[in-house]
Parts: sequence; structure tokens; C-alpha cells
Amino acid sequence: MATLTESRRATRGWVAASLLLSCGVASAHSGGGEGGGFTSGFLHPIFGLDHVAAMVAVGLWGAFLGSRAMWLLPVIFPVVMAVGGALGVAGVPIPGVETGIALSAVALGAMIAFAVKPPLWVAGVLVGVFAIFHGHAHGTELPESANALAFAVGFVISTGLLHLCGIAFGLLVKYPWGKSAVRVGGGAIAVLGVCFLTGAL
Amino acid sequence: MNVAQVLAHSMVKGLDEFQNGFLHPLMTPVQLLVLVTFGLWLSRRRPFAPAREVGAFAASSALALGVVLMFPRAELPLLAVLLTAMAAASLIASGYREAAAIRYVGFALAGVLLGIDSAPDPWVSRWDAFKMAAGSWVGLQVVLLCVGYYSSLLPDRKWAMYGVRIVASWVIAIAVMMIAFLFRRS
Repeated sequence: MATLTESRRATRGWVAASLLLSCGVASAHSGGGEGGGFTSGFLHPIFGLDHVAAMVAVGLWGAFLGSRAMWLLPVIFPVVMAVGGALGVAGVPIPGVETGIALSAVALGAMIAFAVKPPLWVAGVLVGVFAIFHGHAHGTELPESANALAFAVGFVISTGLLHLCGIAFGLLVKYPWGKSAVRVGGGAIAVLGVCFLTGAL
Repeated sequence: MNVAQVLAHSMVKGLDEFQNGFLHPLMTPVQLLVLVTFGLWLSRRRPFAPAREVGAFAASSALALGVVLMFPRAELPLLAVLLTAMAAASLIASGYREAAAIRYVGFALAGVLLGIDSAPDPWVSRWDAFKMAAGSWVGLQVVLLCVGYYSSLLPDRKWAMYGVRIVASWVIAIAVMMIAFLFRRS
């Protein structure tokens, strides 16, 4: 009986190993089609550290500001970002896009670090303005070969997940030590933003 | 960038016309976007009572499919579908408590649009086209009900409500981007 069980375990191990080894072949693709469009869109915000910093900051600040801001800011950001993306796709130029993106990390990070709690509409407008720059960058850098819908779905979901990461971290404000941790996190984002702004990163 | 590429899908080999029609909403990303949006909209009513909305959707989609069976070359502007999804998602994201009549009209409109969008290819035989349309109709109702039902199972907690609103905002963003792609293409 024991031998049979061991034999089964060994078989399972081999099957698992074979599946893992075959993944390399299965995952090989040209990057085209809907999968490629989705992957390309999904990775686009993640591969830009400046985007990551700002989007995590949006979620973090939302959680820091409280219940309503926690959902309102992550709702405003993708919608306005899409408008910026549409402007980018349409070829409408916006001056200082990269500066705007770097500034978004500085400003949002500083808001968290200094525990600034403006009225909700001010926070919404600020996040909306910065979202335009992020969206425009995505829209203009859109690869020609990408599948439109799959790319849009990918980059919107990726953006939303980055916000959720920020919210998850921001929920630590419930604890006395968590508040300090969140403020330190905000400060780190602001410092990163300064590095982007000065070209150090 | 080719928006048509997004919508293009071929028949799954080995499946008959009904089964292919059934899978059609799942294989057409824009239809899926609309169905997810309307499913979320459906789930907002507590307690979950989707009979009238689903009734309006089922009747209008059946009617639209009947029309496209008679006029197989009917075409639907993608813009109309995207604007409908965007309008429904805006209602969800804003948390606006709309009148029941607006909901019924919205679901009926979505049914018409998705029905027309599910038109079988004009070169297939009448019987095959009918089977495909019947499959599409069943598929549309099943996907809508599944999204609505499973979303309604979310607990009555703030985080769930916020999550639904955030997903609705993603739909708006995707629709806005798609509209931009459409205009760039044209």
C-alpha cells in the first residue's frame, strides 16, 4: 500500500514537473492578438516606475483621507486617465507630460507624508489633473500592433490594481504605527518623484 | 491598430451553430463588456429581483435577433454599444438611484444592441442562422444572469459597494479609450 502511495506521489511529481517544463513552450508567443494586446496594456503602467509610484500614491492617499475618498479617487483616476489617453491617441499634444507625471508623484507623496487632508473635491481635482498626464503618456506610447480593446482593458485593470495596492497599504492607518508607516511611504514616493523630476532616475 | 480586429472572431470548429451562437457573447469582448456592466447594474438592487430588467433585455434581444434574421446585413455602429455601456457604468460608478423606468429602458436598449450585434453571418443557410441566433440569445441571457447573480452575492458591505463602483469606472475608462481608437481609425 505504502509503495502504491509513493508511486502515486512520484507520478504526480513527474506530471507536475512535466507541466512546469512544458510551460516555456506554451507561453511562447509573438505578442500579437488579444492576449498580446492585454499583456502589453497590463505591463505598460507597471514597467514605468513613475506611473507605479503615482498610482500607488492615489490609492494610499484615498485610504488616508477616509472612506469616501478611498473609492472616489480610484474612480476618478481611471476615467480621467482614459480621457487623457484618448487625447494621446488622437494626437492632441499636452505640454510637459513627463514633468506632470513626476510632479504627480511628488505632490501626492507629499500630501500623504505631511498628512494633508484637503476637501474631497480638491483631492478629486488634483488627482484628475495628474491623471490626464498619465493617460496621455499611455495613449501616445500605444504600440501600433496592439489590439485596441485588449490593450485598454489591460492598462485600466493594471492601473486599478496599483490603486488597490495603495489602498491596501493605506488601510494600515487604523493602527497608530500604521499611520507613521503610511506617511513614510508617502515620503518615499515624493522622494522618488523628485528623482524623476531631476532625472536622477 | 485595427478595431475590427477586436471584434473579429471565427466559428469554433467541432461545435454546431447553436453552440457557436451560445459562445458568441463570451468571444466578443465588446459584448462581454456590456454584459458585465449590465450584470453589475442588475446586482445593485437589493434584494436581487432581476425579473423585469431581464425580461426587457430578453424580449428586446429576441426582437433584434428576429430582425437581423430577416435583414442579415444589418450593421451596428460600435459607438452606440460603447456609449450604452458607458452610460450604464456611469450610473453604477456615481451611485445614482435611477427611476425603474430608466433601468427598463437601459436593459431594453442593451438587448436591442447586442441582438443586432449577434447577427449571424449572411452566407449561412436560414436554418443554421436561426440556430446560431437562438444560441446567441441563450448565451446573452445566461451571461447577463450569471454576472448579475454572482455580483449580487457580494456581501452588503462598504468595500463591496466601492469595488463595484471602481469596476464600473474601469468600464467607463475602457469605453472612452475604445471610442478614441474608433475615431483614430476612421
